[in-house]
Amino acid sequence: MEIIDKAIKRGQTNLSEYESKRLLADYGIPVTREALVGNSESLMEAIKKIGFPVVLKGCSPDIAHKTEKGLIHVDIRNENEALAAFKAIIAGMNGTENSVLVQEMIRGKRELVAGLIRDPQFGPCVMFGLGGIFTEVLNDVCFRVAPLEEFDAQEMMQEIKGHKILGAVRGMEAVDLEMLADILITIGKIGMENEKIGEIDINPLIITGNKPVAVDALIVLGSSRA
Amino acid sequence: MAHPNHFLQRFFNPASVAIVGATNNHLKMNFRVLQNLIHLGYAGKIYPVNPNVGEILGIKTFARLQDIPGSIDLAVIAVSAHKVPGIIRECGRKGVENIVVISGGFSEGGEGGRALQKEMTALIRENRIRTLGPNTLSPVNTANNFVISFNPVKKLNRGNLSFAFQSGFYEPMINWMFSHLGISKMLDMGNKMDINELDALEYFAQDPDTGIIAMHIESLHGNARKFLNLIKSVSKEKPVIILKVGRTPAGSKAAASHTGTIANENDAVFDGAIRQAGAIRAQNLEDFFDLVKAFQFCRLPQGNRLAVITLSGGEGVMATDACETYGLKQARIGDNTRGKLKIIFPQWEIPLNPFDAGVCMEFHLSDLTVFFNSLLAIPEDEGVDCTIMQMLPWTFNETLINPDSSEDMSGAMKALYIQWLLSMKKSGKPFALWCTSSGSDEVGLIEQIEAGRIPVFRSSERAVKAFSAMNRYREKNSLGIGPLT
Repeated sequence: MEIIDKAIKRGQTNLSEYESKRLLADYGIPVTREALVGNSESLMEAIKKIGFPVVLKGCSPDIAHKTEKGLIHVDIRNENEALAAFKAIIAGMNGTENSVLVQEMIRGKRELVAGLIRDPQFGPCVMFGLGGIFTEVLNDVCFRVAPLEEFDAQEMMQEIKGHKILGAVRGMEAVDLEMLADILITIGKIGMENEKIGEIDINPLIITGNKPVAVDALIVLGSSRA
Repeated sequence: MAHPNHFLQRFFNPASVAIVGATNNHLKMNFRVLQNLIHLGYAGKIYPVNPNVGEILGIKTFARLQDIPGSIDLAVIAVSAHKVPGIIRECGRKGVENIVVISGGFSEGGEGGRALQKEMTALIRENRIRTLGPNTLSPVNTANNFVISFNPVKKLNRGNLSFAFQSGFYEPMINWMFSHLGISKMLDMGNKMDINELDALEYFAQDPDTGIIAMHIESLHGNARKFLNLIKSVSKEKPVIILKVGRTPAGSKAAASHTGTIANENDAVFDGAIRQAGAIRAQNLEDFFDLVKAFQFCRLPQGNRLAVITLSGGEGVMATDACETYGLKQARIGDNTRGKLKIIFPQWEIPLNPFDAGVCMEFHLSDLTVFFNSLLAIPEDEGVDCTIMQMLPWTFNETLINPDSSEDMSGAMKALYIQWLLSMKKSGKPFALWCTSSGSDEVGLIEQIEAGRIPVFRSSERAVKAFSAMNRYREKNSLGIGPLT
């Protein structure tokens, strides 16, 4: 894929969040509506299209752990807040051009994780589980070897301990399982078709209404494990 | 019977076998290897090899492989590690194509051992020799009484169960295995220098005598994707039960030093992968033997509805908990069955699942035959897919003896009970017992019951777990009831 080849040419070891999501979106995975901006005019233009509230994030292939570095500003509701956040992020990133990502603010209490790893023995494997901070704390994830069939994806969604979160709970709608299954199957397909992708990490994959949306994503290039 | 056209065939069915390192010192483990072959009546030619003796256990012994007059199908090598490469060269000259290296001290034995294994790997390639091990004890094939083991094997029990191990951990319990399970073949792959889990699975998939495949794996050596694809296809006909150990980082490291492999496995990935392929994963050794027993003794349940017959209300609650935990459902019996059961239940007790048979015996037992026969209605009920029952404690036997009568009824009681248990199986639906205690009386009874192919588990929970795994296997592979094996 062009995004991958270009990134490799530039010497990147992973795709930026923006690039990662473009690639996922090309495969039909739902991602946040977003734009990459480099100055205040393009920022305002992007906000006009996306509409408040928005999220501003520092975006570069070299940054991981954006939250810890103060490069994520959420729930921005007006132009003043947007400008202030934009300046803070630029300052925090040493001013790389076109480096702030403006995206729609996705609301949803249910955060999932979906991704791809390359196992040294089994090759590309799809991962699915509870997302956000729960990925680290509860480690409630499961794996299947790519390519996935519909049955495998359905089984993964049943297999995690917290599978009830996908149902109708606390006044929330039951998750569109078919759509979620399609995402898992597609991740496997991306792994099968792109040797140069070492790892995909969509976290969080937020359920908004009953639909999953990739809110943050990282694609690591090359073999992810020694 | 048609036999598979697979290279492992000659490991299980050698027409002639040489035992290099055979001894007449009964205190040495090697002595048992030859003794087993003779005692169990292996019909092929046996050639002990030892330069220092003329005869072992009445069999002419040869100083070197070259001195053996005929051809050798399989050479079993049990000499110190450093002597093994020399023996392999001799095998090459003699035209031996298949060897088993019992000796240890290779890739699991430090740098020197690794160098030896490297030398050996080159030698077997050069001489086109297929090698089992090193660091192995096997093969076993009950069909021709061919048993390579360090333990005196008393009696073989034939059946459709075949095992592949990556260790000889089963060796100390080999006689227990033969007293409870019907076994076709066993293969210990040891260090998997040449023959690995993929070869074993391939062979068992083709082998007409194998109906259930049970594998113990510390690490994968063959192509992992091929392994999965093979499981996927064979699972449609034969269940594959896998005990994968080394699941924790420390365990994985221990596995590496045990058989000299590289520990690079992600257990969660392995778990998902074999589940996806349709294998049944055993969580531990108890679980492993529970599963093989259930799959061998019972037909597949055709649904998840479980009936529980207990002797104590307390055990009934535990069984009900297990039923929910492991994904089975409490069966609901029809009015017809309830009517049949009313005869044995006291008036104040409604016969509901879990069925408290203890109450019947306590308050309402006038005729044991009526009691037993009424319970037969439970597995027959169309709302029931599988049944588990608490085993009668054997003290019960004594409560039935009339102290005023000189007639000894105890043997007759036992026979009646076992006869009745067998009729509980007649519906064709899975039926198992559980028995939490293990006094000497119980152990003897369990052996008799299991000889009738009714599995006895150590708790209701373990019985439920096994039936649940069988039901999932059937669902996953869209299988029908299948033949009783």
